[in-house]
Amino acid sequence: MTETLKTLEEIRKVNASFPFSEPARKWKEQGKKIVGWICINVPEEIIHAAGMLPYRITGGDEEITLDRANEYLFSGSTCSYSRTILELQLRGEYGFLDCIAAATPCEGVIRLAEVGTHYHNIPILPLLDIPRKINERAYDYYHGEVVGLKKNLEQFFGITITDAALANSIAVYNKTRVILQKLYDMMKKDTPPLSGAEMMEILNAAVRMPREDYNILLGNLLKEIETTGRALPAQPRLMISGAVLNTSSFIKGVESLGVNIVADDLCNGSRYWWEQVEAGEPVRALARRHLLAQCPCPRTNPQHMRSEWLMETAREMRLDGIIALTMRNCAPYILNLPMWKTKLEDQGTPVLDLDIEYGGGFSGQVRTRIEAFVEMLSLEVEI
Amino acid sequence: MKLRKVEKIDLTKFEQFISIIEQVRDHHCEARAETMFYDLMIKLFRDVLSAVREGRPFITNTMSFPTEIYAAMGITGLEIDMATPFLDVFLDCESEIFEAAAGLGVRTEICSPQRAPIGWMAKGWYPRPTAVMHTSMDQCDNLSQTGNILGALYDVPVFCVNRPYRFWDQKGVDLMTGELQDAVAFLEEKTGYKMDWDKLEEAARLTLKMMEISVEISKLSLTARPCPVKAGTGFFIHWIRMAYAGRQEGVDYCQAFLDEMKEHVAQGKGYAPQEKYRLINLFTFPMGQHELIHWMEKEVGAVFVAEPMYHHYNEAELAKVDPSKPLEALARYYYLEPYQQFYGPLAEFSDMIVNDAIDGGVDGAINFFNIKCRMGGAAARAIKDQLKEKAGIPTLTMGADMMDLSPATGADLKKLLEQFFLILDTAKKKTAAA
Repeated sequence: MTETLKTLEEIRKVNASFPFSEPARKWKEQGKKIVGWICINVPEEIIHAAGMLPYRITGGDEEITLDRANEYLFSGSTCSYSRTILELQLRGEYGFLDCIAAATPCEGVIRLAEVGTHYHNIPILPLLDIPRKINERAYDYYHGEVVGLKKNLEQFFGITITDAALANSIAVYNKTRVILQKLYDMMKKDTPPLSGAEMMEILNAAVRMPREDYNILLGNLLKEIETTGRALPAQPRLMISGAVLNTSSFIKGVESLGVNIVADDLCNGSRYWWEQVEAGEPVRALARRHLLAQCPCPRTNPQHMRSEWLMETAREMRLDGIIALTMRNCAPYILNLPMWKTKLEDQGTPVLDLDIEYGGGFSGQVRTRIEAFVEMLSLEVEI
Repeated sequence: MKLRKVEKIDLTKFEQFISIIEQVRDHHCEARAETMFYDLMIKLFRDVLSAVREGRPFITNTMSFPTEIYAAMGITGLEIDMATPFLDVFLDCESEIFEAAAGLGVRTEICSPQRAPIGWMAKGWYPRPTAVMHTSMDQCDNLSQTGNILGALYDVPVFCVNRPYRFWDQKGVDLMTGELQDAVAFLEEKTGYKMDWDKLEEAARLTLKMMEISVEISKLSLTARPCPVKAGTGFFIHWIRMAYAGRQEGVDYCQAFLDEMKEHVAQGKGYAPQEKYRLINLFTFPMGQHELIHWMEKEVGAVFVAEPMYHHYNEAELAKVDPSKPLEALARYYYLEPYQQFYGPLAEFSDMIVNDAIDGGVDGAINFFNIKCRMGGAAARAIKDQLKEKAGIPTLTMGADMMDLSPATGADLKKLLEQFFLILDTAKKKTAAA
């Protein structure tokens, strides 16, 4: 029997009221600002250094109907992530945001932001442009964009963001990254302390509450794991790969088939926290960390960096398989997947290529295909 | 199916295509510029075959790579995502091609012009290039990734040109100029051919000339009555500007296109027997739907007086081009080509549409938006609303595909168009009564 962790219960309370979480509500009641952000290449530290709450705009833990969003973003070509966000914005559920800081990671997010300005009334800052290529020239350009984001935020709210505040925010966010790395390292054990679903709940809470409070929760969680010696049964070890996935219930469903999700390749998972911001001039350091990531987004070139990261992770985490969740209309992921799937399979890591919709549940054909994949792995894996 | 290097190349289909195009040129052209277009297409495809057979460098690129660079380096090049849709449609092999792409996991959500190159290479029907140049063509997700798959299929080197989101600021121009500098260095290394910078400057001048002629074409098209542009040829001029950028043949084509328009204006003659509806076209007409275009123009009297994605240049930005700085000029061209603005900031792209609709005195807009296009399709409703609000015209939005007829067949499109023309009739009657 696996122990229930008290800290996890506290984390669940953060995610319970979505999207206007209880910590965000308390923050707002103090008269403070909340800035919604879309895409991990928007450095949250800049918003945090402005004394505001950075709040990641996502869907919740369940699929919603997208009737209103479908009127404005065509469902045949726009991903369900973008349409989910627009739906929530049109319903007014993100009305607690003072403005939105978004980037240009992909077509879906660009048009979500641009089309949205015509149909909802949450102000959107000029989009932060992210290069699709990772090199020094792109870094120089992106650095200029991050400087631009800082200026735009300062102008919009009539404030000044100091270097000292930025340095402090970087330290706060780096602390999160250090603790998440420790948790990730614990997942390397044959008997990991946390399920993949729990990890997702933990990561969802990260972007819905003040970071200092979150770091305290993470610290408590670490201690609790250490003192209880919590360990899940040894089972086939899988990675969930995809663009973005916020539904812990989906992962719970997968794990109910007798596997452990011990790693991820998601932009709200490893890609979100993987690396530290190094020391140096704060904006430059932020730009370097966010653009020149070791586990890059599928949108980036050169593509071999992603393949190499995935192959290395598969070896390091001793993965028995990868479930590649292809969100419909996510072109970067669709076109990137063939580039690494063959390499992983050649390395001996089977990959299940599965179509899903953002927020979709663990049922029907999706369940059937994952069951078949897990059965196949169970025949091959000896625990 | 796994993504593996394609070992066997078979150019039979590629060769067949040239024969078919020769027949089209000889038997199905109404305008002189049409004949010229097919002549230039045939020449380009023949050049590719010659280069491959003679062991000279052949580079293939995805949309919007500046081919002036090839002209100045003496390299043969072909834009694969403009070439393979033609190959598909004229050889009637779309199903086989899309199946080959699907076999690699490339789903139908990817637009057909991007699945076609993958399918052609997966089948081994496309000539093996020395290298693949691909671009992020502003923010098209497909373009920034397909080059990688193409390179892997033929095991050839790949270079990605990173294009920024915002067009006109100096930072964006500087980034693009630097990217092109790197692209030239890459091509020099992979082909062994050197850049002739004087030739590049001349190529930049020739492209500028093509763009200046295109501005005239746009203005004449918007104002002349009856419309002096044959339906469906807007895409041709765009194709030539891309394939023959920086070449005298490209300038000659644009001039011939304009001259023919002027002749029609002088004679008071259009291509439609009786012009009834002046329309603005918001996206590329589905390929292979020649009968539908013919029916619209000849039987219904519906003409496209505005096709901003082919003709609408930002003249203020065009005036900033200095061909004596050729790489910077090419960087600016990258932004100036109107088609590419459709993949950029929505505000710019919707403004050019609204302005053309007003300037052309159009009755309605038709959006054949590619159902798989996340930039064009996603913006369809916003564009429609702005056309209604700012230009006072209705828009027919049709989810189609440039090659794949599964979203909508020609009969489906015709039915929708018939209904739309009834709406335009009603609007005209109301206006007349008022």
